[in-house]
Amino acid sequence: MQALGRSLRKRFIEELMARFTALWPKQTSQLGNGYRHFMESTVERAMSYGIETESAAARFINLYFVWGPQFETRPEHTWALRILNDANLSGQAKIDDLAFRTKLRLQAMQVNRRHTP
Amino acid sequence: MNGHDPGSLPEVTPEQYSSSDNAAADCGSNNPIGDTVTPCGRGPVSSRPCDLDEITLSEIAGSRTAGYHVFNGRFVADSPTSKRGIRLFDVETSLPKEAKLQVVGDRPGAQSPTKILASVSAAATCGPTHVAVVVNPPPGQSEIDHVTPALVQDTFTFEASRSESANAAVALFERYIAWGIQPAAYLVSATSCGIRPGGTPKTRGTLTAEVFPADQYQLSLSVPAMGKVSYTRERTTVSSGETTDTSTAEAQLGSDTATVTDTTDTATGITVTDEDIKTVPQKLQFEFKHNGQSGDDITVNINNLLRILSSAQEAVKAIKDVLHEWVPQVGFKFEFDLSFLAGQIVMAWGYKEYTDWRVYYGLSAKFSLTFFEISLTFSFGIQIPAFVARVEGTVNDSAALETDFNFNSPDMLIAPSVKTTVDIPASVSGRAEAGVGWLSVSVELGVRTGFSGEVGLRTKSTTVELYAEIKWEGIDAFVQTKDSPNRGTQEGVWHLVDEKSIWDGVVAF
Repeated sequence: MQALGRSLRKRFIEELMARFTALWPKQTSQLGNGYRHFMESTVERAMSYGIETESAAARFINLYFVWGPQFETRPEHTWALRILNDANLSGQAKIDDLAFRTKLRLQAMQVNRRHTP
Repeated sequence: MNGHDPGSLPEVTPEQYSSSDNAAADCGSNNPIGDTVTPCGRGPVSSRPCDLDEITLSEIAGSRTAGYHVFNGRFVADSPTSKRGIRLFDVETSLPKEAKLQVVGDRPGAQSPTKILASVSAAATCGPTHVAVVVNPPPGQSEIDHVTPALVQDTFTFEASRSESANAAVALFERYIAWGIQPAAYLVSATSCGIRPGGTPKTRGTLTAEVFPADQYQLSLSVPAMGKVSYTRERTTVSSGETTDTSTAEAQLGSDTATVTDTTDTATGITVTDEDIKTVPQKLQFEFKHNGQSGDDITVNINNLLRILSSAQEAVKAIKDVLHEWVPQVGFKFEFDLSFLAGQIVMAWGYKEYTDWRVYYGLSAKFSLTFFEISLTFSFGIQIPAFVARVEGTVNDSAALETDFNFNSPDMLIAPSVKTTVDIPASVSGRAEAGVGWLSVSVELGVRTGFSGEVGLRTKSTTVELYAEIKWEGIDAFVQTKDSPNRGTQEGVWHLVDEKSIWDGVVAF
C-alpha cells in the first residue's frame, strides 16, 4: 500500500512537471536537473502547511513560480506565512486566500508601476 | 528560478497569474496527494451557492462636503474634512464594478494624514470570515486586512499617502508645481463570501484610490525697477588745442546706484564698464509659502530668483551695448531710465478635490508687470549734408501687463497665455546750427527713433515663462524743407544708427 502511494505520488510529480514546464518554461529551464527535487520539496512544504490535496498543492507550487521559492519566509511576504500558519483555515481555504491576495498584490503593483513616471 | 530577485517586484501580470493558477488547479484532484492521480485539465471547480451575484465598491458621494474657493490668492476649503468615503454595496448592478476614487493626501508620516473611510454594508456579510476587505498600498507600505462581522454595518479607515516626485526639478516653479507627479494608487478589494471550503471566490469588487499630492504653494514676488542708465560724453577743447573727452556712465538697479567715471584722452571709443549692472537690487521682495508656511528651502528659491533676475540684468546690459556701439560725430548726452520686468506676481497652486470627486490641478495667479518702460533723454549733434544740427528731446512710454488667471475646475486646461505689444515711436525736433540753405523758406529737422516688439506670458511644459522681443528702431535724421510757399514739403532722410534687437529672451520661473 505504501509502495502504491509512492508510485502515485511520483506520477503526480511528473504530471506537475509537465504542466509547469508548459506554464513557466523559462523558470523550469533555469532549475535544470534540480527541477524534480524542487517539485518534490515544494509538495512536502505544502503538506507541512496543511495543503494536502493535489489541486491545492499544484496551486501552491504555482505561487513559488510567481514570488520565488519559499517566498513565505521572506519579510515582505509575512502575509502569506500568517495565512499558512493559521490553524483555523483548511488547506483549501489557505490556498484560496493566498491566490486571491497574490492576484490583488499583482494588480496593485501593476497600477503603481503604470503610475510611476 | 523565479525570474526575479528576492525583494524585487515580479514581472508576472495579474492575468498571467490567474491563468496559471487555473491551470495549476486543474492539475490533480481534491483528493490527498498519493491517493489518486487525476490528469490535468479536468475543468474548473464548481462554485458554491453562497456566492452573491455581484459586489461593487463605490464612493459615498454624500460625504464629499469639501469645496474650495480662492481667497487672497490661496485655495481655501469651504468645509475642512479629513476623510474620504468608499462604500461596499452587496448587489448593485447599476454601479460600475470597478471605480476610481481620487483624493489628495499628505506625505507619509504627516501629523494629519488623509484617511480613507471604507464602509461595508451589513447586507453583504454572510459569515465569520467575510466580508474581507484588503487594501494593497503602493510599494513600501503594509497591506491592510479587515474582516467585517456578519450582519453588521461596518466601517474602517486607513491612511493614504501621496507619492513623491522622482525627478529633480530645474525651474523655480517646476520644483513645486507637481504637474509631473503621478498619484499613488491604493487598490481596495472586498470579497463577500471570503474563504469557502472549495472553489474560487467570485464575489469581489475592487476600487482604486488615487492619492495626489496635497501640497499647496503660494508665491509673491515684487521686483523693483531695474536699470537706470545714463551716459554723457562731452568734448572740451582748451586754448592750447588739447582735446579731452570725459565719459560718465551711471547705472541704477533698484535703490542701488553704481557710478563709474572714466576720463580718457583718446578721441574714439566710449568707456562703459559692466560693474554698474552687477548690483543686486535691494528692494526686491520675495515670499514663498508651502502649505501656508514660509521658509521652505529658501536658499534654493533665492538662488533661482537671482538667476531669473540676472536675465533681466542682461537685458539692461544689452541696451547699454547698443549705445556703446554708436559714436556720434559731435558729442552727446544720452540718458535713459529703464524698467524691466518691474511689478508684482502673486501665484497659488496645487491639487484640489472638486465637488464631483475629481482631483484637478488648480492655479490662481495675478500678474501686474511693467515689462518694459523707458524714458530716453538725448542731446546730440548730427551732421548731415548741408546741415549741422543739434537734437534734444525725450522719448518715454511703457508696455505693461495686468492679468489674472484662475484655473479652478477639472475641465479647465492650465494654459495661461497673454501678450501685449510694444510700440513706442518718437520724433524729436532739432535746430540747425549751420548750413541752412538761404533759399529755404522753412526747415524742419530732427530724428526719429522708437521701440517696438512684443512681450507676454506663456506656459511651457511645467514652467511659466515671461518672454519679450524688444527692438530699438535705431535713429533716422530727417530734414523737411519748403523753398516756396506754393510748393509741397520735401523730406530728406539719413539713416544714422541701425535698428537693434534689445532683448529677445525668456525668463522662466
